[in-house]
Amino acid sequence: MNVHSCTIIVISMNLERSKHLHYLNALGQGQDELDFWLKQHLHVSAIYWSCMSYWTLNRKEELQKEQIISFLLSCLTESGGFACYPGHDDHITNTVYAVQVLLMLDSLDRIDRDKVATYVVSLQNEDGSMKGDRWGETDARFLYSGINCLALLGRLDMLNKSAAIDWILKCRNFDGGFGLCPGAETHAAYVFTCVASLAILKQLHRIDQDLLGWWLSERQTKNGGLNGRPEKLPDSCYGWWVLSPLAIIGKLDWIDRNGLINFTLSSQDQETGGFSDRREDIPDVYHTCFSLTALSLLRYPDLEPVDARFCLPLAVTKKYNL
Amino acid sequence: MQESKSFDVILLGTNLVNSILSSACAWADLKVLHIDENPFYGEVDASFGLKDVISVSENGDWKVEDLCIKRTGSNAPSLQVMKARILEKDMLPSLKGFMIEFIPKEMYAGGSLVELLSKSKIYKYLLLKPQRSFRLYASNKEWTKVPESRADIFNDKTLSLTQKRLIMRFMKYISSIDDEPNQELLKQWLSRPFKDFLNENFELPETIREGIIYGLCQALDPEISTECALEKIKKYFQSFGNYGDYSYLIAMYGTGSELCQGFCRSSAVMGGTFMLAQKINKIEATSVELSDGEKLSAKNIISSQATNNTSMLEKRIHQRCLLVRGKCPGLFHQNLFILSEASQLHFVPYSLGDQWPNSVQARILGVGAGSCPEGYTLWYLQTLDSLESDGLLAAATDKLIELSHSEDTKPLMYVDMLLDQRDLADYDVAVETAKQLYEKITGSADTFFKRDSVFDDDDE
Amino acid sequence: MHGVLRVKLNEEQKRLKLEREKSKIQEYRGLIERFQNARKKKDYSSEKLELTTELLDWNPETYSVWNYRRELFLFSVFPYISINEKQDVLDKELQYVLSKMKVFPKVYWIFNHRRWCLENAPYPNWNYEMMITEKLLSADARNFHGWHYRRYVVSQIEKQGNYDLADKELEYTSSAIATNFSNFSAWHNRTKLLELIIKKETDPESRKRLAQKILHEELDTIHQAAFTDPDDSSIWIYHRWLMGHCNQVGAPPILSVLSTEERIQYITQEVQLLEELHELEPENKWCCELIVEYGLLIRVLSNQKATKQEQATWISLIHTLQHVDPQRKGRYQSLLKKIETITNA
Repeated sequence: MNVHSCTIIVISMNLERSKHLHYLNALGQGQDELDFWLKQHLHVSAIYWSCMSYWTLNRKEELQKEQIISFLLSCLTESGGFACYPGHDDHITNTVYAVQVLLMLDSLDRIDRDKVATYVVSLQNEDGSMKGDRWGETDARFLYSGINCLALLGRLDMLNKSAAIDWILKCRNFDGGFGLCPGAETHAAYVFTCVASLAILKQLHRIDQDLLGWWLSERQTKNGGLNGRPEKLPDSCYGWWVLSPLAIIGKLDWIDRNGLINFTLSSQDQETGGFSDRREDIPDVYHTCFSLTALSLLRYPDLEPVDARFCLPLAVTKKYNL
Repeated sequence: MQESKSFDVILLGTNLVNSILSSACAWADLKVLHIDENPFYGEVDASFGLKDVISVSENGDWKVEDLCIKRTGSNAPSLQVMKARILEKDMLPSLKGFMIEFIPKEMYAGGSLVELLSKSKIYKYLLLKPQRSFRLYASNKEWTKVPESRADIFNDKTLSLTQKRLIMRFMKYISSIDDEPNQELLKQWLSRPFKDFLNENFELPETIREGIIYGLCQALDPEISTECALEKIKKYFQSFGNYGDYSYLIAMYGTGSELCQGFCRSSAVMGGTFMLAQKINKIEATSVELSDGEKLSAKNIISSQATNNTSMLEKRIHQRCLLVRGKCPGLFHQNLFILSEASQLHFVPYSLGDQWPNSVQARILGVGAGSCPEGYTLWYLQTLDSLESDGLLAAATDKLIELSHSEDTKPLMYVDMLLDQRDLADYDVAVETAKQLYEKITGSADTFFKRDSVFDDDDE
Repeated sequence: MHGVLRVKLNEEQKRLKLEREKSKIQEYRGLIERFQNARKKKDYSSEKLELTTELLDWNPETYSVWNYRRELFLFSVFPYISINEKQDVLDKELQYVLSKMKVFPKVYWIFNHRRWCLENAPYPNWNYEMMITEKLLSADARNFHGWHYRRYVVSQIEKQGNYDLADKELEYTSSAIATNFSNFSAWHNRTKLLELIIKKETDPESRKRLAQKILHEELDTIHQAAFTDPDDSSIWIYHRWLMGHCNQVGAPPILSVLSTEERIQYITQEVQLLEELHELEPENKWCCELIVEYGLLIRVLSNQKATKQEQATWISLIHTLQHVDPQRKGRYQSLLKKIETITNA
């Protein structure tokens, strides 16, 4: 056998599954910590991140389905959008996260889909972009949230698609990537939102995929991690923001898989469980979710496959023909 | 009456090494006595004023006096003013406001002294300011900026593309100099002249080579060894950008004396006892007898000594300090908002005339450095001592006047000194020397300036 | 949480921390409860402003509190005061926002609120806002919130004064690049500004001259940077823009005024320069890759087949690439395929 032809995979560390589950289980029980209360604005987001983490670890049966649903429903506001926590205001980010979780739990019938869809569509501006809420902040993240949400609700037909596509393409830069609005610098998180939006709207032929792949693959740094922009430090969450558009355009092999796996695993907290942005920092559920989903895209053994367009389990998007 | 008092350590002379050591010992709860025969702190590291070299007689005549600094308890030769000359008596404002250092030296922003100042919080006693390496008068008789950073090389329009690449390569080499493969190459070069090392290993343009040797290393000796030069360049780059885009710091009101006072103050705060202007009769292995006959004993007696630095050739240095009227804006680094207060200019060999084969290093202090009154500047020039050094320093002075960009620039007086090259070893060497002595006294260097965190008063 | 260092507490330290936090939690929950009640009752009495300040001091990311604060201004402050008083109130509010920006220079909600204040102020001082962007960007030259906000402020000034700041902004990027040419945010902004500047020139002849002048100057700058530090990625991304490599779909504005022959001429010159640099730095991946990419671009533009010799050079460069940059082996493999399809077509 030719020794040189076989790639030797050296994984320096294992995925600490049970520690991560332990970390996730403890998340809801921090009421005696100040941080738990100060993070109220992220409550619905955190539920999505932790559901995705459980699911990716093949432990979706551990989710407290009824408890989650009733909490989410308590965040639903009169407008049709979801708030981060009962008593707060609606926002598109919480809305898409809530709808994603409800879909994962097979419970979209618990809400009035038309009302939620009407809320989402009401946030679209004339130029195709979308506001985060009635106060008017406009950002490519919000348009993606809207498109993702409408697709899950089966109401994409309510969106002004051609204006939305035009606006997304205006966010594109010469380097093949996308910024937060027309004129803004390319940033990996915005590349994800724009490319995933175009994928959901079946418009991928509108972009130069080689160029995009070139920019994305250049995000890998010497230590294997990915950064979000040129000459910046790597961060485990870019595992998702960079990897998912690469997966969408079918160019996952343009980066070094093992290097990224090693970097991602090195950012897990081996004592407490959970992932952080970099080895030396404190873990959180956001980085835990996107590190696990990134590992799944990298085909790390025994993780649930993830649909890169929606950041949902592939089994779920398949089931609903998305 | 002659009751013997005993200490753990008696230090003779408050030069920087002993001041650091004094403080370190006091921090380690040793009983410290610190004596200086001079009536001021700092000994050879101190500053002096005009009053110390000029005496005014009753009828108003000015006379230059001898000034001599004794190294307490040591046989090493005293440091003395070789010559002082008043050029424009009527223009000298008064005898006040000038602080002249015996031996001005570099304080590297990234060196062990600054690290120690920060750790020991002694920086709180000091007002630190940047000193920039500024311009180089090259052999082509043009002023060039010494390239200090990647941005400098990028912005320098006089360099060709290939030259930029080669200079950056040299800078990258310096930053990875401690890597194995580089060490191999270096071994054979360490004791050989640095200029040959540069010639053979890096294809650099002439002005850049001069910039490196005379700008970054501030070499006085064209034959500076590779080991010595690389050490300086490494420190220069390590220091650059630590606090801003410069490598050196100065302390206001005379760097050396301020440092000595800072460490002595810290020693006193921790319980050290000080005696200034105290004459000594006799020094023995474990005791010191004061001029009044009192005998003090200690396990360790440390006398004043020049810092250890055997790698340097023993050449003498001719230093001239000029008191100059005029703000001399042309001699300071200036950006949009700030005019720097201390700067360094370099004259490469032969740049001032074919008859002068040595370089001149100039250090210019403005009013912001606290060593001269408003409207005046202090210039320190150094060159290797030789028969021609007088003329060379005069030529450098003329060139600086030309560059000063003010019409009223006028040197009013100068003070010349002859320095031992070992005295010029930078302040970080003083820290190392103090640490070695500390280890000898206590048996371990591990406790050097180590206290429990309770003493970090303001970190909560 | 980004950049928060791990600190491991032992059991005793944990217990003490919880103990200390107990009263804080009570206080914060009390405030949140008061906020939620007031919100539910649609209580817009102006003394509630203080409550929002207290809450935002705890946490500037509770967006609902910012929302409520704006409603308080809109419903119970603005209707009852004169225009000048309104300006005073908003000036004070802007000061409060600034104090938050100093501590949290990257929170979307804070920027958002600042924009709302300025858009509601009778006499917004946009020049002051420019100064703030400068402060933000001097503290962190890559803060994309800072750059985004700067572009917004510039657009407001331009709208109000009906003039354009493109040239001034270009100067700003020049000085940012002189300080540190790894600042890709500045290079990026430059591409947008230069496109604007060229579009502004309507006469085709002068536009062409302008484009050539710009191209010449930009190439000169990028060469200085490339030879100084060829490992820096930001300069090569910008170089691709100048070569129009990155914009094959649409016409790259800076090059659209040039004829194909002229473009080929420029690119050929650049390839020569890259070859020089490649000789100095044979392991630099950017040179290797761009020599191939630009070579292919010339072939596409001139509609000519590559010679056997060219093809061999390219293939050997790609082998070098796979050796010096194994992380992106897959990408170089597909570049190899591209060479085959182009040369065989």
